[in-house]
Amino acid sequence: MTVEQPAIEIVQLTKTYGQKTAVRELSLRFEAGRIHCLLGPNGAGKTTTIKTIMGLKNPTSGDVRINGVSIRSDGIHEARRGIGYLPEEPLLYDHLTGREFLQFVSEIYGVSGRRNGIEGRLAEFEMQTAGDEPIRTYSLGMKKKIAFLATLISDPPILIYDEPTSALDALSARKVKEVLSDYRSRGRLVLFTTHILEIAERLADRIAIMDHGALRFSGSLEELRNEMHESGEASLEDLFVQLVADGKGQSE
Amino acid sequence: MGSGGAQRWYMFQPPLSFLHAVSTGEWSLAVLSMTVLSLLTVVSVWLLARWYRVAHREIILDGGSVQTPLYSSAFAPGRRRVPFAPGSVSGAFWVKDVLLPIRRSAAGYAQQLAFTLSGSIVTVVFLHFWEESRTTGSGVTCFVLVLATLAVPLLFSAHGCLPVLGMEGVNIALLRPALGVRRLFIAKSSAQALFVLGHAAVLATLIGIGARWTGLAHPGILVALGLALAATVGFSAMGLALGFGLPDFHRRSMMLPGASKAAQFIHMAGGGMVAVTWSLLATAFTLGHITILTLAVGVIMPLALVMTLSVAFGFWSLRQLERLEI
Repeated sequence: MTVEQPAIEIVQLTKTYGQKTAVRELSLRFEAGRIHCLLGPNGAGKTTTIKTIMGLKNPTSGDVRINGVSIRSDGIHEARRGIGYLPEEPLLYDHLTGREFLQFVSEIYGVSGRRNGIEGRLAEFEMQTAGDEPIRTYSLGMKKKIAFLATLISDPPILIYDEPTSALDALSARKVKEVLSDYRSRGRLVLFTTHILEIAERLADRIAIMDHGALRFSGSLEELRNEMHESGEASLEDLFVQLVADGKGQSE
Repeated sequence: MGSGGAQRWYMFQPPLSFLHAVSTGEWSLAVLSMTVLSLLTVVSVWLLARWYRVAHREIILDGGSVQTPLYSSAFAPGRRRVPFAPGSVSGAFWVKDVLLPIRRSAAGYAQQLAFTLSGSIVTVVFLHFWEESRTTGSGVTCFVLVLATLAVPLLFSAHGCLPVLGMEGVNIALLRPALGVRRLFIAKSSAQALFVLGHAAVLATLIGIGARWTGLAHPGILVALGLALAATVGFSAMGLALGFGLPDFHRRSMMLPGASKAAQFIHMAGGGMVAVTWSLLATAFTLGHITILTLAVGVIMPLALVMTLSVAFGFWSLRQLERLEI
C-alpha cells in the first residue's frame, strides 16, 4: 500500500520573532479532497503558519512542501500558482471597482473571457450592481466577498482562507460554506482558520488545534472526542475550551 | 531682460493681469485673464460647496446624501490600453497603477499637477524679478531653472517608482506566484517609468517655454528636454530598484503608500546630488564656459554610474524578492 502525498505538508516548522516563538516544531499534513480547519486562541500561530505556506513569512527552521515542492526550492512560485489565498485582512485596490479587481486578477492569472466565471460568481453573491462601484465605498463584508471571489478565478486545486466568514452576513457566509463544500467534492484541498467553532464543526473533515505555537491536536472531531474521553454529544466548542484550558493548566 | 515678453510677468497673476489689461486697453488679455479667474472661482466654489455639503453630515454618519458612482469596467475585453498592447500584463498594471488612480481621483491628481505647475511658475516669476533687480546676468537663474526642471522627474519618480512594490502589501502573495519576480518587475516598472517620462517631458518643455518667453537665461528647450529624459531614466531606475529592494508593505501614507523611509532618503539624496551636478553643468554650458560635448559627457557619466548601481541593486532586489517576507 502506498501513502498518498499530501497537497501540503508542514515538517517541524518553527518561526520566531526575536525572542518570541510564534510556531514551534509544527508538523501537519493536509490532503486533497478534504476540508481542514486550523483552530486556536488568539496568538496561537495559525496566521503565521498560513503566511509561511504562502511565502509571506520565512521559516526559522523546518520546511513546508506544496505538492512535494519545498518552499526553499526554486519551483515554489509555480507550486503556489495553484493556491487561492484569502488573507485575514485582504488589501484591495480602492480606486478599482469590484468587477475590475476580479478582471485584473483573471488577467494576471491568464484566465480571460468566460472561463473566469466572474459574472456568475458576482451574481451568486449578489454583487452584480455593487461590482461597478469603487471598492473604497465597500463595507468590510463586501471587500471580503470580492477577495473571496478572486481566490476562485483560476479554479485552484488548493484554497487557503484566514477567517473566511468574518465580517460576512449570514447569507454570504452560507454561500461561502457551500462553495467550500463544492470544492471538497471536486477533490480540492480547503484549509481555513476560524474562531467560529460551529463552522469548523459543520464543515471540517479534519481539525488541527494550536496553542502557543504548538500543535495540541490533529484529527477528526470523533478522534478528538475519543482523546478527550468525551461522549458523542460533546460539541467542538466544549472540547476546544477544555483542551486549551488543560494546556494553560499544564503551562502554569 | 528687456524682451517684450519679459514685461508680461503679471500674466501669471490673473487679477493683476486683468487690471493691467483693462488699464492699457489690451482686451484679448483681459478676456483671457477673466476666463482664468472664472475657472479658478468655479473650482474654489465647487471645492467649498463639496466640503460644506459633506463635512458636517459625516460627523453624524449620514452617508445617504452621497451617491455612490458606478463605473464601467476599464478591464472589459476589447478596451484599449494605449500605449500597451491589449491584454498585456504591463497594460493591466498601466491601467491599475497609473490610469485609474488619475481618472478616479481626478482632484488629487489635479492638486499634484497644480502644485508642480504653480511651483514652476513661481520659480520663473521669482527669477524674473531677481534678474530685473540686477544689472548683469546671473548664472543663478539658469541653475535654478534647470534644477526646477530636474526636480520634476525626481519628485514624480519618488511618487511613482518608490511605492511600486510596497503598495501591493499582502497582494504580493497573489502576484509573485502568478507572474514570477522578473515579469512582475518588468510589468510594474514599464508602466511607472512611462508615467514619470510623460510628466517630466511636458513640464520640462513648459519651463523652457516660460524661460524663453520671459527672457531668462536657459540652456534651451532641446537641452532641457535631453536633461529631463536623462533624469527620468536615471531617477526612475534608482526609484524602481529601491522600490523593489527596500519596500515597506505596511506603510499606507497618502502620497507614498509602501515606500520605506530608507528608500525615500537614498532616492532624494542620490537624485538631489545628480540634479545639482547637472544643473551646474547646464549653467556652465549656458554661460559659454563648456561645450555641448562636455555637457553631454558630464551628464552621461553620472547617469552611467546611477544606472550601474541601480541595475546591480535591482538584481539583488529581485533575488531578495524570491524570499521576501511581509
